[in-house]
Amino acid sequence: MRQSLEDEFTAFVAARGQSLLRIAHALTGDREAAQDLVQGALAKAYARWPRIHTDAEAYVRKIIYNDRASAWRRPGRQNEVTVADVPDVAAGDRHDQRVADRITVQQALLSLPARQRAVLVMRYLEDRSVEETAEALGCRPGTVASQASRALVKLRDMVGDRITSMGGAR
Amino acid sequence: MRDLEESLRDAVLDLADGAPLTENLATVARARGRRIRRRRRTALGAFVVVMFAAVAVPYVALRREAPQPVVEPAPTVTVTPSVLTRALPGFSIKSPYRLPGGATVSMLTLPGADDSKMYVSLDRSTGRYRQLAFAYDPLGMSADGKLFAGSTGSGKVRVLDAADRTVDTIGVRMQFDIDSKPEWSPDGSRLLLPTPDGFAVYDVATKSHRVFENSAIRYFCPDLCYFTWLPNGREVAVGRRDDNVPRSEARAAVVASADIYSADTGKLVRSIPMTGVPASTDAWSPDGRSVLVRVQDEDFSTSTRIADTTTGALRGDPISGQALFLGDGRILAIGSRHAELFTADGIPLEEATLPRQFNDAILTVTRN
Repeated sequence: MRQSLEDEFTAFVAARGQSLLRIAHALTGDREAAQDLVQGALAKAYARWPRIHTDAEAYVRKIIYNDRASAWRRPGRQNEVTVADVPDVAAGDRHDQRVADRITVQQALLSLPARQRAVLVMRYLEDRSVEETAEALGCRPGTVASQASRALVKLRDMVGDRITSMGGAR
Repeated sequence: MRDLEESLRDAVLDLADGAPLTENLATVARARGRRIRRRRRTALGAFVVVMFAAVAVPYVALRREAPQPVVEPAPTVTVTPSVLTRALPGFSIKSPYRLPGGATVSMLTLPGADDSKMYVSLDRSTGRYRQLAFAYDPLGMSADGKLFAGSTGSGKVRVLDAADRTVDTIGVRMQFDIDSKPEWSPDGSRLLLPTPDGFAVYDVATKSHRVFENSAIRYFCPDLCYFTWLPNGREVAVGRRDDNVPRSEARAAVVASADIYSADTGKLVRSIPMTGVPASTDAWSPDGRSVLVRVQDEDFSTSTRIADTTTGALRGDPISGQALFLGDGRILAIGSRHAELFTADGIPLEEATLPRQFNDAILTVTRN
C-alpha cells in the first residue's frame, strides 16, 4: 500500500479508534471482546483500504455491528450474558435510584441477543434513525423496528415494574 | 420511577464510557489486515497459477505432464458392506472434474481479492475451465453453464453469458438472505429472483418477468429463507415457519412446511408438512418421492436429511455437506474435505477425499 494511504489509515485509527471502541464496548460489555471486535473490523478495513478509505468510518462501523450481530448465529457461540435474576437494588434517594436503574437496565441489556442489542446501541448511543440502522445492519427498516420493540418488551419483562413507563423509540 | 428509555440511554452511555483506551490499535489491525490479504492472495494465487499455466507454459512442457485421471462413475447402485475410501485426483483446468457418482464440478467459487469472489466455471464446449470476468455475489449459474445472473446492487439483475456479454437487464430489486441467490430452473428457461415482498420469475425466451408480491412468504419464512425450483420447472418451494411457536432471536425458527408456489401465477399450490427446507433445486429425487432438506436445530446447527415428499417424515442419518440427488437416485454429498455417495435411503456407499486444491473453494456440482 502506498505510504500516503498507510499514513491515512494510521490517522484514521488515531482519530476514530476510541469512538469505535465505545460502540464495541456498548455491544459486548467486555473490554477484551470490544478490542478484538474493533481490531478485527480495522483489519478488514486495512485489507481493502485503497477501496474504502473515502468512507472508512461507515465501513468499519458496519463491520463492527454485523460481526457482532451475526456472531450469535454461529453454532457453539454463546454471546448472551446470562442474567438469572436482575438483582434487587435497595431503595434510596433520587440519585441512588437513578444509578440503580442504570445498573439494572445495563445488566438486562447485556442479556439481550446480540442483534437486538446492536439495534438498541445504534438507536440510543448513536441516535441513528430506523433507516440508518437498517442500512448498517443490512436489513429492512421494519426488522429494526420489530427488533427494537421486542428488545424493549424483553427489557421491561426483565426489569419488572420498577421501571414503569415506556415511551416510543425515537 | 424514570422512563425505561431514559434509563436505557444512560445505561448504554455508561457501557460506552467503560471502553478501554486505544492502545496499538493501528499496529495490531495492520498486522491482522496483512494476514487477511496474504490468505486471499494465496488462495487466489494458487488458482491463478493453475489457470494460466496452461496458457503460459510452452507446449513442450505441457506435453511432459502426465494425463490427469478422471474419476469414473460407479456403474451400478449396490449396497456394500463397508464404505470404500479413496483419494480423488488433483484438479486440472484442462478437463471436466468428475466426482463419485459421475457428477461434474461445474463451477468453483474462490475467495477473491478485497472480500470479493472469483469464479472458475466449466466451458462445456471446450471441456476446460475458465475464470469468469465478473464477481457478482451471489451468482446464479444455469445448469448448462451458459447463462449467469447477478444483482447489480441498483435494483437490477443482470443476465449475462460467460464472456461477460449482457443478455438482458431485469428491473427487479433482489432480496438477499443467507443462501439465497438468483435460481435458474432445471432446464435453464426461467430465473427465480427473491424479492423483499415475494419473488419474481424471469423468462429467458421472452425476456420478460413477472413479480409476485406476497408479504406472507417473507413474514413466515424461517431462518433458512431461500427459494428453490421443483424438478418440473413450473413450481418453486420456500420454507414456512411454525407460527404457533413464538419467534426468538436466540433460537432457530421451527419449520412447519415447505410451501409450493406456482411460477406461472405466484399462487400457493400446496404445503408439504416438513421440519426442514428443501436444500436446493437438485435436492429432489428422480422418482419424486424424496427431497433433501436442511434441518436446523434450536442452536442454528444445520444438517441435511432425507424427507418424504408427501409426509415430510425424515429417514436415514444426517448427511453432512452440500447434498444432491444424482440421476440414478443415489445421493452425493460434498463436504469441505470429502465427497460421499449414499443410497437413496442414506446408506453410505463410498467416501472420497477431495484434492487440497478445493480447500478454499465452494463447488457447484451438476449431476449428469
